[in-house]
Formats: sequence, C-alpha cells, structure tokens
Amino acid sequence: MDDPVAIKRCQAGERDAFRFLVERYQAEAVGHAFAILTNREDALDAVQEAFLDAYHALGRFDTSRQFYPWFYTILRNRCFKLVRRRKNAGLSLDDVSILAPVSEIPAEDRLALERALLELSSAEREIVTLKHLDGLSYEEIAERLEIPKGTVMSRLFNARKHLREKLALRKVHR
Amino acid sequence: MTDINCESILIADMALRDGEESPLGRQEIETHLRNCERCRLEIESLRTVDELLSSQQRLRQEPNIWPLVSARLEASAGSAPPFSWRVVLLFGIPLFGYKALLLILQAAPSLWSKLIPMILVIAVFGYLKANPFKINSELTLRGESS
Repeated sequence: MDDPVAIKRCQAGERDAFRFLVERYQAEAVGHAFAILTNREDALDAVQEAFLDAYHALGRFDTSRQFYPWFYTILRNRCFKLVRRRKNAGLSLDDVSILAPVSEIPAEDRLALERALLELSSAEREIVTLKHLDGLSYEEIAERLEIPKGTVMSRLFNARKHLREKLALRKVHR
Repeated sequence: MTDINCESILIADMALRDGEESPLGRQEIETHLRNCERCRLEIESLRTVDELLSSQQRLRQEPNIWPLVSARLEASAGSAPPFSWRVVLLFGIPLFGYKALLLILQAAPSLWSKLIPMILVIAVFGYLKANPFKINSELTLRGESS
C-alpha cells in the first residue's frame, strides 16, 4: 500500500489504512516533535494528538498532495500549542538528545552542539534541524512552516548566528 | 558598509553555500567581501557552524503510538459529536435579538423611535471606525510652538 491508496481508504472509513500511515510516519513525527519540544512525553502527546487531528481532517485532504508535509503543519501547531502552555515550566535538558552519535566529530564537540541547539528557541531549533538534519531545501521548509522563502532565509540566518554565539560560549573550535 | 548591506550579503552567501538560489549574484557578494573585513570574518565563523552541523544526523526515535491513537479513535467513534459554539451563535443570536425586540416593542412602543437612531449612529461609528464628532484638543495659537 502507498500513501494515496491509504488516504483514499481512510476517507472511505477504513481505520486499518490509517494504521499504515501512523506506523509509517510515527518515528519521523516524534523526531520532529522532540526537536521542537525537547521532551519525550510531550513529543509523544503532540504526535498522538496530531494524528487524531489528521484523521478527522483527512476527508478534506487533497490526495494529489504529499501526506507528510501536510501532516507536519498539523503536528507543529500541536507542538507550539504545548510550547506556549509550558512557557514557564522550566524543563531540565540534562537527559535530552536530538543528535545521533556519529564518529566523525569528537564526542565533546557533539555534546556542545547538542547543548547549543537546546538553548535555541523552539522555532530556531526547528528550522536548523529541518535544514541540517533532514536536508530540506528552502522551498520545502517554506511549505512546512507556511512562510515565504525569503522569511526562511532570514530565520535560518538568525538561527545559525545564535547557534554560533552559543557554540562560541562553549568554545567549540574546529 | 551599512549593516543592511552586510546582512543581505551574509544571507545571500548562506543561500549559495546551501546550494539555493541566492537573492544576490556571486560577483556582487565577492565584490562586497573584498572591501568588508567584518563580513569575511562573519562568513568564516558561520562556515564553521555549517561544517559542524553538516556531519550530524537526527537521533532516530522508535515509538509505537498506534495502540494509543487506535484507542482514542475507538472512544471518539462512540461519543457524541463535539459541541460547537458556532451553531449556538448562528441560531442563538438572531433568536435572542428577535425576542428582545418583541419584548421592547410590547413594553414601550415609544422606545423604538429612540432605539433606531441610536443603532444607526452606532453602525455609522462602527463603519467609520472613528468618532466623527471628535473635538481637536490639540489646537495651538498661531506662532506658538507645539
């Protein structure tokens, strides 16, 4: 089964077809939610709610579009709702990890980068990770965030500048 | 070099490094960089960040949320449709208005003649989004400095 077939079956009321979509995209969705929320429980909650929202909205989904970029806009709305709600919650970032361990760079540099990423705002972390960890183009980011391409450029530039400042504080030199 | 120029150069250089269409040409960027040491240093340090980021991968999460989603779908299938305030507003406000009007007319027919001009004035104010009778309280005498 592929996405358009699954979506058409969902629109016809087949819940098992929705299971296919959930299982196909849940890992990616949790990764994205986690990068915004930096909390696993919140990320799982947001993804769950987003899938429920998507299920109820699938009747209006245009099957010529791709599922995941559409779903992503629902997911990020759920995530930023949670971000606003927990603004002053003061979460601990000690056991949070966004980056996979890779051997090319020293572990301490990766850790410093991880900490610097976590110190960015949710929106900055989102755009940096979409660009650098997912390798999305500016056009794709613009579609996901529903903003013009020029805004993607300026937001990405500012996010990178902030990241550099955070890294400079941690004295990462290559 | 002004800050606005420098920032647009830095953004254009970032777009080129990302393999994207840049708002400025390479030639234009290089000409600026020859004369602006601040931008050269800025670009060098931003490249270091890019290099560090380019070797990274997202940590793969392995959740299994289908049982939770499925249970929620099951629960919502048997429950009543969600309450919508829109329906209440759509039918409630005209009904309430109609009933209030009938009561006013029954209680005091002469009130109607006062209400109509008042409603009209409110509607005009709302449409203009300004008070047409507003008095200018900031008048100054000729020759007086403000």
